[in-house]
Amino acid sequence: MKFLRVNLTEQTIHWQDYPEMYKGLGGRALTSTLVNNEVPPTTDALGNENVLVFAPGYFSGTTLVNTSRLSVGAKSPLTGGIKESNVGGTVAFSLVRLGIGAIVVEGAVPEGSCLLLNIDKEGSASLENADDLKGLRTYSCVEKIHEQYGESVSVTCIGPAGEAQLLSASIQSTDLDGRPCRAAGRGGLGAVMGAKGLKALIVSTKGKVPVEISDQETFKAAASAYAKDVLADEFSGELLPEFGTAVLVEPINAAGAFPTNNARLGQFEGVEKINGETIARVIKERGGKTTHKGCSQCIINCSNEFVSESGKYVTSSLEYETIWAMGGMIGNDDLDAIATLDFLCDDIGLDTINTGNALAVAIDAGYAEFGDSATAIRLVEEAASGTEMGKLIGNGPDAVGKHFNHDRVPTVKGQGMAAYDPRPLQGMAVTYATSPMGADHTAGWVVNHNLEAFGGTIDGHKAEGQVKISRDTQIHMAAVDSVGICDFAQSGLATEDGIANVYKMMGAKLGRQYTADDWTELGIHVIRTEIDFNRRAGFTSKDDRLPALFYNEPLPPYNVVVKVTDEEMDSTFDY
Amino acid sequence: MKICLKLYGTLPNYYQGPYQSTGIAIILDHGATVEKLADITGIPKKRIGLVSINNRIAKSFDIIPDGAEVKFMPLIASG
Repeated sequence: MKFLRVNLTEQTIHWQDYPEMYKGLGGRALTSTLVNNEVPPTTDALGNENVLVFAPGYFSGTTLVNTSRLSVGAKSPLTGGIKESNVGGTVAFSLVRLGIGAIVVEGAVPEGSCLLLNIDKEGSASLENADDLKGLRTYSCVEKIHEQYGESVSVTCIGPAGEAQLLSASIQSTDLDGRPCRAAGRGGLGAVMGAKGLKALIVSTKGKVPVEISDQETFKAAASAYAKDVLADEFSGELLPEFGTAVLVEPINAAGAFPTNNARLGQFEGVEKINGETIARVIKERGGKTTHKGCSQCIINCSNEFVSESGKYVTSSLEYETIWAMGGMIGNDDLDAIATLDFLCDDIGLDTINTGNALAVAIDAGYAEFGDSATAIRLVEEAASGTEMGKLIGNGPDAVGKHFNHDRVPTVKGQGMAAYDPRPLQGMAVTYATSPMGADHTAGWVVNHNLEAFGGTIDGHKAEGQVKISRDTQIHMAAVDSVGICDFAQSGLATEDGIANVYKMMGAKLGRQYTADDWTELGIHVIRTEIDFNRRAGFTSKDDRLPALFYNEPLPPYNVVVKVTDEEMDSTFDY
Repeated sequence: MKICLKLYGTLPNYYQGPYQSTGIAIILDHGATVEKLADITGIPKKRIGLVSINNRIAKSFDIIPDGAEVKFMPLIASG
C-alpha cells in the first residue's frame, strides 16, 4: 500500500511507501493523525497550508462486507477544528484495489484554475486540466467524466457550492450506479477541495491489487461470521432493506426527539406523510426501488431510488437525516419537495443536515413560513446561483443566525445538529457538545440506550449515566470509523462474539494478537489526537456546550431541557 | 374497551390477523397493559422496540386507556 501525495501548488505527484508511523491506521485514525501532524492548527482552513486527506478504512477493499467507507479529513472551515467526514459508494474499495492507502492533497492551484486527479487501472496518477468541468453541478460533472473516461471509474467531486467555498459544501461520490449521490457532507470539506482548485478525483474501479493480510484463513472465517450476523440482525437484515433509514422517523418522533420547526417542537404533526412506511409505499406505487445497493461490498441494501409520480428518477438515497432536515425541521410534510431538496443538495454539493438547519433558522427568524417548501427549494437553488441569501444558506445556520441577529441556532462548534433533539435524549447532548467534530450524531449515537420499551437501560430525560454512555460510544465509534465499517453494519459487532470477530480480523491483518484493549486504545488515540488539534487551534471547554435554547426552552411534548451540567460535559474527555 | 393499534416497520408481518396501515381496532379489558396487548397480537416482544400511547412513549407495564391510539415500533439502530 502506498501514499499518494499531490501538491497542487507545484502540480506534482509523489508516491510514498506507507509511512511506518501510520501503519495499522486507516480511515478516521489516519486522516486525523495526519492532519494533526501536518496542518498548522491556526491556519486558514481555506488556505494553502491546509491538507485534504482521503483515506479508505483499514478493512476497506478486503472481503469483509460493508467496508467501502472513505474518510475525508482536513481542518474544517465550518467548525475551525479538525474534521473527518466519511462517505460510501465505490471509491474506498477502488482505491485499496489500486494499492492506495491514502491521498494527501497539499497546496492549491492558482485562483481561477481547476484540476482533476485521475488514477487509472494501472494505478498511475495524473493531474489534468478540468476547466471544462468548472461550474458544473455534480450530476453533469459525473456525466461528462463518464463520457471521457468511461463508466468504470468512481468519481468523487464537488459542485458549485464547493467551488464557491461555501461552508456547508459537501464532497459527493458515486454509488454503484454511477450517480454522485453519496456525500461526505459534514464540516464543509467540499469548500476545502474547492479552495484547492480540485474539482474531481477519478479512480478506476478495475484495480486488482490484493490486500495484504497476514493470516488469510482467520480473516476469512471471521469476515464470514460477521456477515452472517449482519444478515441475521432484524435492523440490518430486515428493516433497512425494506424501509431504509427512514424507518427511524416514527420512533424518534414518538420519543419527542424529532426536531420540528427549528427545534421548537419535538414531534411533527405531518409525520405520517413522511415516515418510512409511507416512503416505502410511495416508492413502490411509483415504480422506484426500496431495496437498493449503494456501496461496494454492501449486503444490507439500505439505499432507495425515489421517483416522481410519472416514475422518473428524482434522488437516491432518501435517508432519515435528510427527511428530517428538509421535512420536520422546516415544517415541510411534502415528500416530493423533500426528495427534490435532497437531489438539489447532492447536485449542488451541499450537506443536507447543515442546509436544512440553515433554512430552519432563516424561517424561524421570519424569512418565510414553516412548511413553505417552495421557498426552501428556491433558497437552495440560490446557493448555486450565488445570491446573497443563497450564500448565507450555503454557509450554514451560524451564518444565517448572524445575518438575522437570531440566536435560536442549533449548532455546536458551528456545525448543525442532526435529527435527534438532545433534550429528550440527553446522551446525544453529551455527544453533540463534546465530539471534536462539532454536533455530529454518528460520533456517538446513543439513542437506543434511551428508548427501549422492554428493558431500557437509561432514562433519556435524565443526565444520570449519559456521560459514560456517550464517552464509551464515541471511543468505540472512533475505532469503527477507522476500520471503515458502515454504521448500519454494526449489528455484526453488537455481541461479544461479533466484536471478537473484529478483533480477529484486526489481528489477522496486522499479524499480531489483537484484544479489546487495543480496540479501545485505537478509539482513544483518535479522540485524543482530535482534541489535541482543536486545543491548539484555540478551542476550550467553552466550545463543548450546547446553545442556550437547549438548556432554557422545554421541548414539547415532554417539556424537558438538557440537564447535563458543564462539569459533567467537561468530564467526558478529561485528557 | 376499544383501542386503535398501529404497527410500523416489519411488525405487520408478525401480527396474527389481517392488518391495514390505517390501524386496527382491538377490544381490550379495562386495565390492560402494553404487555397484555403485545400478547394478544402475537407479535414477539423482542421485536417491539418502542411503544407509544397517544403519541407518548409507554413502557410494557403502562395501562392503556379507552379509545387510545397505540403504536408498536421496531427496534432501531444508528441512523
